[in-house]
Amino acid sequence: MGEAGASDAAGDRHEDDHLLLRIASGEQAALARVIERHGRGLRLFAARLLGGMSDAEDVVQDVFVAVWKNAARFDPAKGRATTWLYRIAANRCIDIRRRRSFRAFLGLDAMPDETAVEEPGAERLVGARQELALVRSGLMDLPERQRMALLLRSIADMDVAEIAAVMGTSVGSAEQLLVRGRRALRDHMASAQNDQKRPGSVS
Amino acid sequence: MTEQEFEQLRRRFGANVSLWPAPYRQEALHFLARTEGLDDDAAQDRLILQATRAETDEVALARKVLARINDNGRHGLLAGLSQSWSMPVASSAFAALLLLAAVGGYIAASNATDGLDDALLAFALGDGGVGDDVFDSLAGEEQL
Repeated sequence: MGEAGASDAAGDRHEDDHLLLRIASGEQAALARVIERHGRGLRLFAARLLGGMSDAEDVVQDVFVAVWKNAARFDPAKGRATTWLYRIAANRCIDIRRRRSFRAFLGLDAMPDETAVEEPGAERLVGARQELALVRSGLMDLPERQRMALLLRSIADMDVAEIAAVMGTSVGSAEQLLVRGRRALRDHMASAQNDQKRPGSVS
Repeated sequence: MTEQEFEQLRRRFGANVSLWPAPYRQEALHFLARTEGLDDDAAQDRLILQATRAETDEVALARKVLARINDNGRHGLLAGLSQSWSMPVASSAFAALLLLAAVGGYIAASNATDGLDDALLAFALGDGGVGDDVFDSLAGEEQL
């Protein structure tokens, strides 16, 4: 990131920090502005981490309600506002996945095949859409922490240090998660594309 | 991203795309075709971002969140009021009930004791009263 980029990032950060200060003083308009700025990113992140938009809606609402209640506890000296927002969202998503697993273990719920729900006709799609469907299915096949690292990089545009802060891990571990996730996703896509090129395969 | 979407976002977040929040920033940069010379990782990030695209409505989201907050606030206030008032009121009412029961019991017991004392005293002195009635009735039974 160049000098202009660095100052832009500082300006971006300053706006979020200022908005959180206003939220802490009880200003709902500031919360609406934070939702306008980060609602989309958080929802896409939660949707792809959980595998569907239905729970993502609840997660994102919970995040902003938590922001409203705890804005006074945010300390800009400890990290960026976006890191804080995504950390709340990541923890909420992990809670939901654990609850789903526990309910499935008890036999109360079947674990949904979310990839199939999202992309019922993935094989029938062509060209660019097919490639994107492969990315989605590849993401769902990744271990959760690798998927989370990749999503924080691509959706939230975070660097490795920020990803590590969100995930509560070291920079080295976050880097490893990114490298392994990237490699696994590339392997998944190459394998799927080879399958489709093979004679007699259904496409 | 279409031209119209880009213009809407420019009005929301200003002319400087690099100040826009993620993921709008990356989407706009892709739209503006500032993607030449992307390395493999950056190209993969772009592909993942495209794959995660979905329609979102931040206005509706804000409305729901604010409704939840205001709803919680009202319920929280009522809950707070009920919590702060209900316990002392219930405790005081129960204490008053116990006190009334104790006083009532004492008065009733006192009245009953007075009547019994009078009857015993009259019996001891040989005066009319309960004791005479009893002896009269017993005498009548013997005559029969």
